[in-house]
Amino acid sequence: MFKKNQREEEAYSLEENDASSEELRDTIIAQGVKVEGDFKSKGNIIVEGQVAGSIKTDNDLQIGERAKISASITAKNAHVAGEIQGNIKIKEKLELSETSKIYGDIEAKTLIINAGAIFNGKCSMADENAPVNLKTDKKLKKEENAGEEAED
Amino acid sequence: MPEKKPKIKKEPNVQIILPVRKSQSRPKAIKKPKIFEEILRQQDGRSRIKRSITEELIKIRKGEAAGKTHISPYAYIYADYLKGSKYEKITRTIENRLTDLGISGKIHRLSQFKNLEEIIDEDLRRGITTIVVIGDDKMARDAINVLAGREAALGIIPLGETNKIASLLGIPEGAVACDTLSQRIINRLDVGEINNKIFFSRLYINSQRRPITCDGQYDIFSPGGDVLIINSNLDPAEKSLPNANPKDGKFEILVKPKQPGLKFFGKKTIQESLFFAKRLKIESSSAFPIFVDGKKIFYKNVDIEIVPAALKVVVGKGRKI
Repeated sequence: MFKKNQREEEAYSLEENDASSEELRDTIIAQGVKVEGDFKSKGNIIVEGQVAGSIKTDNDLQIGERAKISASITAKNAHVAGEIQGNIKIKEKLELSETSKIYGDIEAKTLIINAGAIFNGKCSMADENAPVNLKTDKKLKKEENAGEEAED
Repeated sequence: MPEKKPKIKKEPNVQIILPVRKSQSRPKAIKKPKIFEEILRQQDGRSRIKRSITEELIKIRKGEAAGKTHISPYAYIYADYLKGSKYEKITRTIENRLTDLGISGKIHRLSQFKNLEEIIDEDLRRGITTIVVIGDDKMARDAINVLAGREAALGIIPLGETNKIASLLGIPEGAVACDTLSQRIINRLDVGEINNKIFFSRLYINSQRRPITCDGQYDIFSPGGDVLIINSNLDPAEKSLPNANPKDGKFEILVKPKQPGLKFFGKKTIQESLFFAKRLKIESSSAFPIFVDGKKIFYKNVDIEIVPAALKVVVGKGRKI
């Protein structure tokens, strides 16, 4: 009986492993397919078709040459060759190829823009030191001012 | 004359006889109640017998309810077509092998008057924990439909023409399957539900144009090609289908193009879309056909949902999942 139970447990533990690995499979939106709404995934996303709404992934995003996207985008890394109308927020690296067209703001840690790419919007790149220090400086100044006022 | 006197004396004797006659009639009067008593006794006897029979029946029923009558946790259900002489030899070897392995149990044979669902329900009530079906894919599918969502495990001994489910689960055909059964490696698999109807493998929608709502978050608009909603892929060798895992708690949704795509400037464009979702909804103004595990059924509004780990099934070492 003990052996039997042990085998069952082993089998169940296998299931859990499979489920966790399954999360990381690529989602593909092929040419001719349209997606509307909030599209979320934990794995990679490849877009060759159309998306309207929002795209969110914990992994990489690849937008093909013929893709048309009117959505806000959040991803870890992104390679864009198609058209995007919306804001892009990338945690690590964003690469815009020569065929890409961006109409919106970009926020990325690393940005690569190839010759021929069209980009209309604001760009802010994360600086590890600057924004944090600025905030602390402001806080410090406020504290100092508050202290001076109290002394007066 | 004195001689005559006794004659006269005899008369009273004759008169005396009368009461004797009366007395002779008395036993007749006594006999009647005796017969009644006998009848009563007989009736008592019958009622006693009846009582004892009913008591025994109650005992048997109580025993059945407690699962005392069938000690073996296994029940075997043979497909209808296995009655013929073609499968006689193999079924005998299977039964012998099961006895050798010590996993023999109650045997049912399906017929026109024996419904699989009723048999399984009855066995589960008796405390049987493993239902083994001996037959082909159809038999396995029917058993999955009944056993999904229940605690009893399903075992399969494949015998017949198509055994794709058994092959996916790594169960070899024929008597060798008994060894796999005795090893008792149990996996919990997902099943799909379409409008509360169970399916194991996949749904196929031809020329799909209606929007598919996934997890209530986004809609997929197909270009008019075929759509496959897959829980488990029974043809793992087929490259056009994605590797669907019936343990991931999600459907794989394959959206095919309307026409096979052309190469775009020599580059191969991606033609098939692949999504993952737990819940799907398709609404239509007119009824449209969906092939549920190969069976064509018409629907108008469809709710499709995955039921994670709903099926306990005995698998082999060579399983493809």
